[in-house]
Amino acid sequence: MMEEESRSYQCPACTGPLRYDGATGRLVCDYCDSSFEPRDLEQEPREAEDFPPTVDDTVENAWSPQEADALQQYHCPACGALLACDETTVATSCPYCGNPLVLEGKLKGGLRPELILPFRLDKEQAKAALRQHYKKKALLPRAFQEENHLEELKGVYVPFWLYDCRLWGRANYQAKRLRSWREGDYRVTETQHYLIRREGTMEFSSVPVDGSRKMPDALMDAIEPFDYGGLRPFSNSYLPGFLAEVYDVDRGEAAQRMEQRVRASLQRELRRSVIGYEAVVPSGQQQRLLSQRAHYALLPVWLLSTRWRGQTYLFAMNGQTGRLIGDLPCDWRRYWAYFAGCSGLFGALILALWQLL
Amino acid sequence: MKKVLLSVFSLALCLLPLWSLGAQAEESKGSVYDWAGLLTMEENQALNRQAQALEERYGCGVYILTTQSLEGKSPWQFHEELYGQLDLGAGEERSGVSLLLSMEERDYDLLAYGWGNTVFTDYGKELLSEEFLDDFGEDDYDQGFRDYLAGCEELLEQASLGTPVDVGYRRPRSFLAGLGISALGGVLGALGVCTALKGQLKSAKIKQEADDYCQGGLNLNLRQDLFLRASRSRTKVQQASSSGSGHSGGTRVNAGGFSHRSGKF
Repeated sequence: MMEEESRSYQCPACTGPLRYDGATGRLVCDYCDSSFEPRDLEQEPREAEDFPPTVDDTVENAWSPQEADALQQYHCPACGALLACDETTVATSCPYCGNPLVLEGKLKGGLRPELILPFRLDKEQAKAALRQHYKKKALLPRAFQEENHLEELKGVYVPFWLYDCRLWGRANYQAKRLRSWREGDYRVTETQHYLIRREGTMEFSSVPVDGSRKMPDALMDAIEPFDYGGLRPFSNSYLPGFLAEVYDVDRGEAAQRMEQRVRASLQRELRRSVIGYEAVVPSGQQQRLLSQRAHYALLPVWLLSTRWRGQTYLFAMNGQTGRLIGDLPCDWRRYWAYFAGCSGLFGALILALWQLL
Repeated sequence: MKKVLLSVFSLALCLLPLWSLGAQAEESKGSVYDWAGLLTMEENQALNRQAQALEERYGCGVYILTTQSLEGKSPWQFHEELYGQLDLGAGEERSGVSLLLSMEERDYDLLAYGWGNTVFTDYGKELLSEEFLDDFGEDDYDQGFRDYLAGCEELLEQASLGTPVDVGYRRPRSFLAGLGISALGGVLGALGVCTALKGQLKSAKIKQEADDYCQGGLNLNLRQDLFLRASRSRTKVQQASSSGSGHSGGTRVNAGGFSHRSGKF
């Protein structure tokens, strides 16, 4: 287990911990209500104090070698507690004193993000969005809304790869055009057969692919899109008060998901360009990525988890747009009640029409 | 004198077949005259009983005639002559409906007379012929005649209620069939509604495309539509008169008081 450098942003007025406030875009102190521009507090981190170790390293079997490799330890600059984090965590808070911590040692070299999209929505808005998410769901168990309690709510800067790319594609299609006219007592139908060729390019900008294995891809995809107009050059000062991760899916691996998506878009656009035919069947296609560039960015996501009847339900909210996604349980008794009711209603309606028309 | 003798002999030759049919009819005395031998004895008797029951109930003769040849006449002409020769029809008006099949050219003729013209309108005859033509096309004559008698019964029943089947008539639908269809439709409809409601609970989905991030759409470099070949097919257009939509209602009756619907099977 390695011990690394951590930093907390402290209020210059009262030395209380600062946190980033998405609504104002400033670092605020909850103790003296002071607020500061993030850039004003950008400074070299102070020297880590030489805290004595608080755990006995000689204790046998405290961590397995694999666990020890994956965990790193930090000292909270506020209370001195020794904290352990996994290798991808770069911002967290002290569980003893609540002091927000930024583990700056991990944000160096290739792991330092180029861009960051600051949080615009706060915790209360995330809770409100979750309550709204429960509404107008006929099959959501009532008990779920009443009994389940928010187990965890955390703002996380999730590592994303944003790809700019240019894709070339060619596609061939077999197409038919029909013409029909009358000759005496006969209807003549002429079928014209065509070979269709299309070739073109498409450019994509900032296609996001999450770079964290911990984050479910379906949740991260579904909270898109982000408004990239709010992207800023990365600064540690946006991190206090939130959790943050560094990527553990590298740009090469993430590029495969990006390619699947852009290829599907190009394929559909090429097909859409074939118009005026009654039948179109693809007969071959080629695609090639002409250029590709990846940016490493941290994007804001509120993660909410609730627990109901022994099962955890995870929700993600876009910290910028407020789009909240998450699967909900189904009340099967109500499902079958609806099924029976609708069957009877539709059946009676069809029977009445059957008799009348 | 020779010419006169020749003319009398020729006339006799022409009348001979009718006389022979008439003689056969005298022997049969019923509603089914199967001179083409399409039915077994049991089938013939069953159909005969059914046709006579209809005649007794509704006061309108219902007949089945089959022959090998029309002897050079048109189906309707042959049929009219036979109707007279056999003295068919019920009551003073000699009301009746008759179906003639000729096997030589696979012709059929549906004839109505007297009150039969009121019962079997042109539109009613078309509906009736649709009942049996598919069976005759497959050489299933017994089934075809049974369908014919069932159709006659339906038309006679409607006419006896004062509303002969004509253009605009809607056939009563089976309640059981309606029940089955409504049950199936109800289940499918409910499945659609419940699937949509359950879909509201699932919002996390992997994205398959990247349309939100496309800059300026597709830039086409090549757009070729190459004509390869053309093929043609010809389909005979159904005449409006046989589709049912050409009916203006009622029954077209000829100078002899008969109405017909003829065709091939």
